[in-house]
Amino acid sequence: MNTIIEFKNVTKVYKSGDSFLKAVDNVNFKINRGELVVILGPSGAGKSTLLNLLGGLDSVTSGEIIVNGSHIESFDDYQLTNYRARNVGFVFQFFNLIPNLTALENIELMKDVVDFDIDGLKILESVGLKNHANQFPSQLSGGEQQRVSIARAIAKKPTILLCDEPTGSLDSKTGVLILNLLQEMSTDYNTTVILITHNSILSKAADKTIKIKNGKVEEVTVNLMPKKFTELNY
Amino acid sequence: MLKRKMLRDIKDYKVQFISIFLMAFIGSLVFTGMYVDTASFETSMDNYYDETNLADGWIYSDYLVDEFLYQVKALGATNQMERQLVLDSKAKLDNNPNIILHFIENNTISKFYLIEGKELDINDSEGVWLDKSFADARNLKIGDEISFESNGVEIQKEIRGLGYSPEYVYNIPLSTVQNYSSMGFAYMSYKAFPSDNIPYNVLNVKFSGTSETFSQLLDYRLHGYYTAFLERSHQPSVSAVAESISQENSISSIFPIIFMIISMAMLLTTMKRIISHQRTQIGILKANGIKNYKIILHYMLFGFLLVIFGSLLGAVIGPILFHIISNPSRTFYYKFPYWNFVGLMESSLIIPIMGAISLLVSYYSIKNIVIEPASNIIKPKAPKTSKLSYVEKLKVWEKLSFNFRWNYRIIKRNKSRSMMTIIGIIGCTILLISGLGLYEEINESKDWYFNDVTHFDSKLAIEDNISLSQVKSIAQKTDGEPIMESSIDILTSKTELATLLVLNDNDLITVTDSNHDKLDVNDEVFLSRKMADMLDVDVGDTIDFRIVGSDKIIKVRIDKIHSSPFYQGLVMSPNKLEQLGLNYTPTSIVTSQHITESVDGIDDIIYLDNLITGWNQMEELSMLVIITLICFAVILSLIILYNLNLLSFTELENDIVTLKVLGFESAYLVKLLATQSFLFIIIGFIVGIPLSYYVLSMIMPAFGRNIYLVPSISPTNLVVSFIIIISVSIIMNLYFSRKIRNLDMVDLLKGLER
Repeated sequence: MNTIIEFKNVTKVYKSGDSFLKAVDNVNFKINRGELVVILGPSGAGKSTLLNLLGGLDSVTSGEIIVNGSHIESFDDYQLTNYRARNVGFVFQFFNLIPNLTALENIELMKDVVDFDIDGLKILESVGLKNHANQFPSQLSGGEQQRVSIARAIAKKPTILLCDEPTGSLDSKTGVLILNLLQEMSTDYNTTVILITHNSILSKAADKTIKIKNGKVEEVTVNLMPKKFTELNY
Repeated sequence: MLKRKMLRDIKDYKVQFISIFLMAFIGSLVFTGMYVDTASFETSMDNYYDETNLADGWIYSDYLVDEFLYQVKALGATNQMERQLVLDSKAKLDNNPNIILHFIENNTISKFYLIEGKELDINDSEGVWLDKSFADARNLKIGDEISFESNGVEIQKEIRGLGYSPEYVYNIPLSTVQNYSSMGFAYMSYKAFPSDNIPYNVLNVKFSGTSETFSQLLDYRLHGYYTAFLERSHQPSVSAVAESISQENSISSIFPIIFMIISMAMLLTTMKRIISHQRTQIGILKANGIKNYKIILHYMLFGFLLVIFGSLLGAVIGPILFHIISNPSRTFYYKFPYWNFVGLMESSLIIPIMGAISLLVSYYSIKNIVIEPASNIIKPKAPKTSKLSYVEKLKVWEKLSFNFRWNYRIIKRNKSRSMMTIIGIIGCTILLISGLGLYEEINESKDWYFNDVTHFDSKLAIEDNISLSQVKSIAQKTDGEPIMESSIDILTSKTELATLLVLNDNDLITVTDSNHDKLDVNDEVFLSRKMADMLDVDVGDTIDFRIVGSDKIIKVRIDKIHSSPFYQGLVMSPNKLEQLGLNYTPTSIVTSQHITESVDGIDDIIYLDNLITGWNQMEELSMLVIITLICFAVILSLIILYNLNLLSFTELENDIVTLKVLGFESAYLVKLLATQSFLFIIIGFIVGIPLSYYVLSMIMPAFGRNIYLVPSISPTNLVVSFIIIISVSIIMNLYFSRKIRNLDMVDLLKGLER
C-alpha cells in the first residue's frame, strides 16, 4: 500500500490577543491510498483543525504535510485553490449546498473547476437521487441533501474525501446510509476517505483510526478486518 | 444588558450603520439645505422690499404736477406716492462711471437703505447717499466729495452715507469692466437739485389691488399724461431677483425630494436586512423568556437613534453649508443688506418624519419575526422553496454558464432585495442624469445664444431722441444693423412680461428654430416656443400685446414659432411692426466690428464678451447649486452602491465561502458578484434614463422666465453618468474582491448553519 498523506511534526498555533492556543501539537501520521480513516477525539481535540490543514483551508505553523508527494504546507493561495479543486472532496456536517442550485446543478457546478466532463445524473443515480435531480436543497430531506453533498464531492473524482461529522445533523438510520455510501467510495473507487467524528463505534469500520487528544495524536490503530457501517451497533 | 447588546451590534454592523447614518445625513442635508436656502432668499427679499417700502409701480411722466398727483390719488387704489427726478449722469472719476441720480421728494417709498454714515436727510442740500458697491469698488468714503455731470450740469456733493436700494438689488454692469466701479446710483434730497424748479419725472406709487387694475384705472384717468407705467414685477431688478428665485425654486422643488426618497428607501432596506440577519439572536432572546415588547423595542431603537442623529446633523449643517456655497455668488450679484434664515422649523420636520419611518419599518420587520414560535426563530430561516420557472426548464438553460444561472436564481429568490437595489440605482441615475442634464442644458443654451443666435461683436446702445435717418447713418458708418428691443406685456388670460425684437433679416442676429437653424424674418410674426407653451398658444392663434408703459393694445396673429434660448417673446420685421400701427424706434445697432471709439448718437457700447460674462454671472448661482447637487448625488451613489453590495455580499458570504472551499478561484467568485452588480446597474440605469428625462421635463419649463431649456439627455451625459455609476461599482467590486480573497474559510465554515 502506498502512502498518500503524511503529516510530519505538524503544529498549528492560534493567536488570540496575547494568548496562544496550540490546536495541533507536533502531529505525525501516514495514510495510505484508498484507506477509510477515522479521526476520533472529543470536542476541541483538534480534529477539525487537522482536516482544515489537510484540506488546504488553513496553513501550518510548523511541520510538513505531504499529499501525493507534494508539500502542501508550502503552497500559495493559488496552488491551494488548485489543490482543493483537483484533489480534495469535502463533505460537511451542514451539507453546504448552494441553495439557489438544484441537486443536479450543485453537482454539475464542479464542471467549472475540473478539466473533464461530469455526468451529474449518473453521479446522482449512484447516490440514489436520480429522481430528485431538479429539486432545490430546500425541497430535500437532510439525508438527501447530504447525499447530494457527497455526490458533489465525488464528482471531481478526488483522491481524498474529507468528511467533517457528516452524520452530525442526521438521524441514526440516515446516518448509516451516508456512512455506507462513503465506505463504498473507499472500497469501490479507491478514494481515501477521512472521517472526523467523536463516535468511537465508527472506528470499527475504519481501516485506520487516529485518536486525537489535546492537539496530539494519542494513538494510531490499524484495523485489518474492518466491518461494514451497516453491521455496527449504534 | 440589551443596551449593551445594541451597542455591540452597532459595532458589529458598523459599516451598515454608518451608511444608515450617512444616508439620513445626506438626505436631510440636501433637503433642509435647499429648502432653507431658497426660502431664506425669498423671505429676505420680501422683508427687504417691505422694510424699504418698495414701490408697487412707477409712473413715468413729465407732468408730475399737483393736479396729476391729485388725479392719481383720486384713482381710489393709490395708498402712497412720492416723486423723484431720475437722471443719468457721469461721475467725475476715472473712466467716467455711469451713475443714476435720484432726487427724491421724500424717503418713504423705495427707501434708501443705509449701511454706514448718516441717515438720509431730506433737508440736506449738500449731501449724497451713494451706492455702497460702487463706493467700495472706487474706495470712496463718508465725507469724500463727489461730482456728477448730467446734461451739462455739474453737481458736487459730499458723501453722507453708503447703502443699498431695493430698486437696485440686481444691477450688474455689462458694458465695460465687470465690477461695480463702472456704474451705480446715488440718492439726494430734492433740495440738492441745482434749481428750485425740480422737473420730477418718476412717481413712485403704492396701491391696493392688482397692478393690472391700477394700470387700467391710470389709463382711464390720465391717458396721454404719462409716458409709461412700470409695475413692480416688470422692474428690471425685481424681475431678475424673481428669475433667480424661480430658478432656485425649480431645482429645490424636485431634487431634495428625490434625495429624500432614495435615502429613505435605502435606509429602510438596510434596516430590514440587518434585523432579518439577527433572526436567530431574536429566537435566542425569545427562548430565554425576554418579552416580545422588549425585543421589539430593542430592535426599533436599532436604527432610530442613528437616523435621528444623522438627520439632525444634516438639518443643522445643510442650511449652513448651502448658505456658505451660494452666498458669495449671491451677495456679489444681489445687493441686499441681510439674510433671514427661515424655514428651519418646517424643513426640520424631516427629522421626526425620518425617525418615524425608521421606527415603523423596524417595527414591522421585527414584529413579523417575533410572532413566530421561539422554536422556529431559533433556527435559521429555512431557504425559500421554489419551483423551476419556464426559463429554467428550457433546453438552453443547461447550456448557460453557471455564472448566469447562479445570478438568475439569486435574483429570482431575492426579488424584493433585487428590486430595492435596482430602485437605488435608478435613483442615483436620475440624480446624476438630471443634474448633469440641467448643467449641460444651461451651457447648451449659452452656446446656442452666443454661437447660433448672436454673430455681432459690438452692440451700440442708441441715445434717446435720435431720428431714424441718424440711426441709419450710424449703421452705415459702423457696417451694422439697427434693431429694436422692447419689453412687452402679452395679454391672454394672464399677463406675461416678454421681449419684442424687431429686426430685418440679417446675419448678425439669427432667429432660430428648435434645431438652431436659421429662420428668415419676412413680414411674419414669430413667437418663441417657451412663451407659446407658457401661454398655451400656437401658430394661427391671435394674441394681444402692448409695449410696457404704453396703453395701446395690438392684436397680432402668430405666423411662426421660433426657439430662443434667451429672451422670450415676439420677433418681427420693422415693416410688420409698422403695419401693426407701431413706430419703429431702433434701440441699438449691432455690428461685427469691434467699435472702440465713441460714436455720436451712441450712449454705450456692449461687447459680446461682456454679454457672455454677464450671462455666466447670472447663471453662476444656479450652476453652483447644480454642481453641489451633482457632488452629493455622487456621494450618495457611492454610499448606496457600497451598502447594497455589502448587504448582498453578507447574505451570500456563506455560499461564496463554500464555493471557495470547493476549489473555485477567488477571481471566479468576484466575477459572480460583479455580474450581479453590473446587471443591476444596467437595468437600473436603463430604467433611470426615461425617468430622468421626465424629471428634467418637470424642472426645465419652470426654470426662470427668460431662459429656454429643452429637456434632453445628450450621449455625453449618458456616458458620464454611466461612467460615474460604473466606476463606483468597480471600486466597490475591487473592495469586495479583496474581501473574497481574504475570506477566512475556517472561521466561516465553523459558523455555517443551514
